Amino acid sequence: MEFALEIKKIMASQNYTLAVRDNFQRLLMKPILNLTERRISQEPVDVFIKNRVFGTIVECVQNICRSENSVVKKDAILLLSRSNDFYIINAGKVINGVDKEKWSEWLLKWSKEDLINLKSELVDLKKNKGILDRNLFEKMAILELFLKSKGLVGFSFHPMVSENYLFELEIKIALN
Amino acid sequence: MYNINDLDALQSVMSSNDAVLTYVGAFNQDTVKSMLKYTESKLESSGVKDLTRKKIFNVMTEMLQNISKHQNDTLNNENEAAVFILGEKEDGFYLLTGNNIGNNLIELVEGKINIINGLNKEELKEYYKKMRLNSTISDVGGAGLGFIDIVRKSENKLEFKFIPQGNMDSFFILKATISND
Repeated sequence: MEFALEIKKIMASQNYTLAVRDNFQRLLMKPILNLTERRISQEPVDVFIKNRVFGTIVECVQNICRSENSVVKKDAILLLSRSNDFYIINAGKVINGVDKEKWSEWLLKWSKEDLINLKSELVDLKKNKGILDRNLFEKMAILELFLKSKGLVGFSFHPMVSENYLFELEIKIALN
Repeated sequence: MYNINDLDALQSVMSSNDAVLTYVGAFNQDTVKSMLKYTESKLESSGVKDLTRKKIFNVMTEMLQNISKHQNDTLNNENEAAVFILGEKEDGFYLLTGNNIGNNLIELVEGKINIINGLNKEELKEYYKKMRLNSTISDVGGAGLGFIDIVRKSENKLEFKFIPQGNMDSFFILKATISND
């Protein structure tokens, strides 16, 4: 039971208030979003910022954490924290080597571009929105995250067993 | 990312202990309601049987109410935050709360839980009636009715631990287990 104290210490030290570990399947999306929405709505922060935070969580839950064909059961995690200057949303899941290459390529490319280029890239992608392509939705989600956070998206890939990686995104939304 | 090691550590601790939801901070009515709602939907989507679902929901309500009542009203630092954890295992679920309590209260709390854990179903029912009659509003849960409720509803004994946090306080962990029917 000591792990409860360990969890509390890790979460409290980084101001994480909420951590959800799951596969974020369709059925659970609404309750997760309700849970995070209620959490944010309690904070004394401008509604415009809250909407951006909530929009970020929606993208993370629907397109980053969601892993219905997951490599590992309940491999995805969503964390919400708040510092003096930012809301911080961490989203992660276990991916295979092929997906690692894909995410890595997109993120490296877009982290070097300015917001105007990112926005026009998103507009181009949206023109093809009718096509049911997982890659397309994931790309759009990443671009949305860059735009909502004004470029404050960090990422990492941690090697795990069986040639899998823990893919993590950190999205910061400035409070001002 | 500045806190990536903590994120890894958190993912790892949650995963190795089958934790699916953790909340750290102040517990108010809104927080409690939204966690209950989330859990209700989660249990439904996991195909958990009605009876088990009802037990989990009732125990969780009781535990969250307990922690709301007994949490430190003024969270001055991270050490004073309370934690709630929901875990999903192959054979059932566990609910765990953790909060700081004064070392002077340990004997009292430990005594109450040990009495409750030592009673069978019928004895527990009688004990509950007796404690309910004897308790007053000013007890604010001090009679241990919450503990009795949790044991009755979960149909399992409570597990608990006190981890010293300096000279004055300890971290009190309370765990209830609900087996799948």
